[in-house]
Amino acid sequence: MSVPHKVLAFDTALSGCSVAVYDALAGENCAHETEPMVRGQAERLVPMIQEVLDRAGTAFSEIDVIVSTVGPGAFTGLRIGLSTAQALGLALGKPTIGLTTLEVLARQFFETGGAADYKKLVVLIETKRKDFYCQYFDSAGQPLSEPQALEADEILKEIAEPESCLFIGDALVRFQSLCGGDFRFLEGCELPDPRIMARMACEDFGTQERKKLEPLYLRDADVSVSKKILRVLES
Amino acid sequence: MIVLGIETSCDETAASVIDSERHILSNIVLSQLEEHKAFGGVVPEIAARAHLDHLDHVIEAAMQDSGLTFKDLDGIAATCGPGLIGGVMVGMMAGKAIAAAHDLPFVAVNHLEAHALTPRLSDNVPFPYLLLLISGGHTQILVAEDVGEYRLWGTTIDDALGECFDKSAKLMGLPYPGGPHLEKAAKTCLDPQAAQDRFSLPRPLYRKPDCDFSFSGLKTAVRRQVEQLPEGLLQKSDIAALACAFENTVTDILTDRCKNAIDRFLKEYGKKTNSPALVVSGGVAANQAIRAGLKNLTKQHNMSFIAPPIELCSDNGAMVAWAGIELLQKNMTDTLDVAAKPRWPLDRISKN
Repeated sequence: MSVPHKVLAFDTALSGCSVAVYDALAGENCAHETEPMVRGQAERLVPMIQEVLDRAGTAFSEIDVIVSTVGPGAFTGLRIGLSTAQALGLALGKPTIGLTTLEVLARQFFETGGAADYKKLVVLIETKRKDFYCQYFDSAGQPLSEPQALEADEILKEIAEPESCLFIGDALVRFQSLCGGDFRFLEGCELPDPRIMARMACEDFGTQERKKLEPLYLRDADVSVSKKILRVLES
Repeated sequence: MIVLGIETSCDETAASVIDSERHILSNIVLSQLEEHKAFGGVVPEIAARAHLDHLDHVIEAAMQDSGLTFKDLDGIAATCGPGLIGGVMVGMMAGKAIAAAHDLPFVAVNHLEAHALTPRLSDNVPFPYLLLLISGGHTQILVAEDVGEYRLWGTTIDDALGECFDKSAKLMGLPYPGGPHLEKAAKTCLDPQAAQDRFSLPRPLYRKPDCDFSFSGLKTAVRRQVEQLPEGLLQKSDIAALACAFENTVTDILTDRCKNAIDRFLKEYGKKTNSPALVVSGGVAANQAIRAGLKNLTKQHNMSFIAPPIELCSDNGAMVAWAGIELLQKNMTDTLDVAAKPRWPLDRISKN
């Protein structure tokens, strides 16, 4: 299949839960829903998928491709979306596509137009730690870096000319409080829009290697190793 | 009735398909031993990541082994607690997604209830029965009266028994996972009686009324004994003797607590059953010394002793699927907005 018909897309990786059903042949969104929430995605996601499919008049069996964000974001949140997408792909025998939260937010910014007089778009996503998940894009929407987890001063060093940058994402307030308010922050791109995710997935479909549904944590698991000295048994 | 069961609450990624005639059509268990080995214990975030990496393949393999398709299923059961919440979420979401995709009923299974109902899958044990649940996370004595009806008679006031096994093994310099290695070491002890005399280990709550447990003092005593062993590398013969003394002490404690429970069970439930039974389940139930001690105890009380096969005692998907079948048969299903529960006590009736 080079072009899918019905696309199911959803996101639970950041502070929300959202679902869309997209008709790729007609090129139009059938139904969608977005609810901001810090937690509770594990309870809300599957019923929301059912409701949105219902409103779209689409049965599970009609879905041709399943799209989910893969992170970076909350570890538990991104796993909620990924596990659901994997299991739906398996249960329906349909392919899956994974998109990063950073690329989706960047795309949302470019699709909504907005400012043009900047050299670099900086997407910042909350880690709930000292650092930020971040990625840079040029004004044509092409990524200039890989997704990374960096602290504010490292980001400032990397982007060199912060005054020529535009900042979006869900971590602007904290970044601003750390670095001052002299930079250009643009609100409105905090939660991945599943309608845009569905369209992005269709562009990838069949053209190149599909983006795999693999988690993007950007940080190793926290492991505390006991400092107690243990005795060693002879071999 | 055919149900798919999914288990991801600790360090086994598991899925199984079984039918209501107690046929296990498939039972896939992927252990994360290697992932956690370097840390000497289960790391929750590593466990959650590993569940996500493997669960869809494990479910696919379970379906393939069963020779069935999702359309042949009558329900989906997934462990929704208690356990490590990140892993529980992975299994729960997969279960909900499959249930939604094929319009099947979903059963949110309590991991402890799955262990509690396993003897009905393996041995068709009738209610009521006395249950000793011993695992890495739980140490409980319960009466199973019916599906969804349990009475908690005893629980640990500090560490779980499996935890005590693993930590003691670690102190003895034994490799991960500690429980099975400790048992292996104990078997090489040439003189168990001399070992018992040499290493005096405490038996908290021994000969006290009721059925509660305490194991933290035992672990501390093992630490002290290990510290007092000759300097340099620990000698295998010393560790064999200590492991043997440890195992015998634990068996003494368990049989003592179970004796109280048996007396009470026969008094309160003796007339309600023709074949009173003590069932042991959970990962630690694999230990042969414990099994032998409990079997001997039940013989003295004319009770039958039931221990499900080892592969059904440790965490697995079949026990979850079976709990799903029992709950489905009573129409005890859940909606797809059900939440995962890190803590979820089994006794819906308060402790009495």
